[in-house]
Amino acid sequence: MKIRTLTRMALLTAAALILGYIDSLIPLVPSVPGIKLGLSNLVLLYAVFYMRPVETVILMFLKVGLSSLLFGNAVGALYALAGGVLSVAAMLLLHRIPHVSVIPVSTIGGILHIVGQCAVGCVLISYKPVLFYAPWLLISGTATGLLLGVATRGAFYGIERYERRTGV
Amino acid sequence: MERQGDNRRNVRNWILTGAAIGFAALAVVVCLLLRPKTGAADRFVIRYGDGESLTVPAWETRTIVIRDGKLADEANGEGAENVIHIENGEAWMEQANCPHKECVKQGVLNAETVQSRPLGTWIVCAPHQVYIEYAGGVE
Ligand SMILES: [Zn+2]
Repeated sequence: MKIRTLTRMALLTAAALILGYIDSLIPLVPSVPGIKLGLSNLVLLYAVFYMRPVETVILMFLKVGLSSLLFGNAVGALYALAGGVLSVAAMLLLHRIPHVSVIPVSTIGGILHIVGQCAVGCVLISYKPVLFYAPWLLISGTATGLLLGVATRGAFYGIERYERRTGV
Repeated sequence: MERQGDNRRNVRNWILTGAAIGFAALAVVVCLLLRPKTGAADRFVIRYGDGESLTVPAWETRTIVIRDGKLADEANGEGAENVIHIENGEAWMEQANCPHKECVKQGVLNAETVQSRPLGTWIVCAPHQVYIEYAGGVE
């Protein structure tokens, strides 16, 4: 791995951890725990579009591993890992479709992140609490995925204009 | 030509996004249709550790301490600890030392709250794998 890639990975991992922490401070629906903006997904979205698939996958594992180590525990890591693996796999596959924009990629990533977590809930607890909780998570996951996608599309235009101008 | 290509790309992206939203909406409907009925029940089932469980009649007054996946005599704040209180047909997580204490924030389980709680008839402490279910006797 080149120094340039390594530096970029380190920066993105740090950004993902900070965004994940900010995320945990903003309860979207105060009475419903676990509903988050998914800000750290911005980093993975960037990676899907601007880095190699292997690097994106490494970044996801680093993000899940380090944030569980710093702010969570082993069971939490299992939920995060299932959501992360499923959503990153889907986002990488979708990105192979020619001219696909970041909006559907982000929306589908957000939904599959929830699906992965619900699957772990079914295995570890039972399908019953999942049936109650899943609608809340699915609605918020779809909405935040869509929202982040729209915001990220704007950011990507900026990045591409900058790269064209500076020739980076 | 350029414009036409742009439109085709846009249509593709709209279809993908729409399909994703449609899938999520369908999943929500399926969950709402399949989820268990809620209402007055007669017992609380506490699940912990390696598949163990403890059933307590809803009208019993009792405080249950679970530490590191086992029943404990009293709370001392060590290990992975949850304190559950049951009284007058209600149950709640009185205390817990899990990372975000979300189980404590989930509030009270009773015949009324189960109708509108996000987790329905359950209180879930995911990190400690301690769960309370309001169960039995639902019409
Ligand atoms: Zn807890």
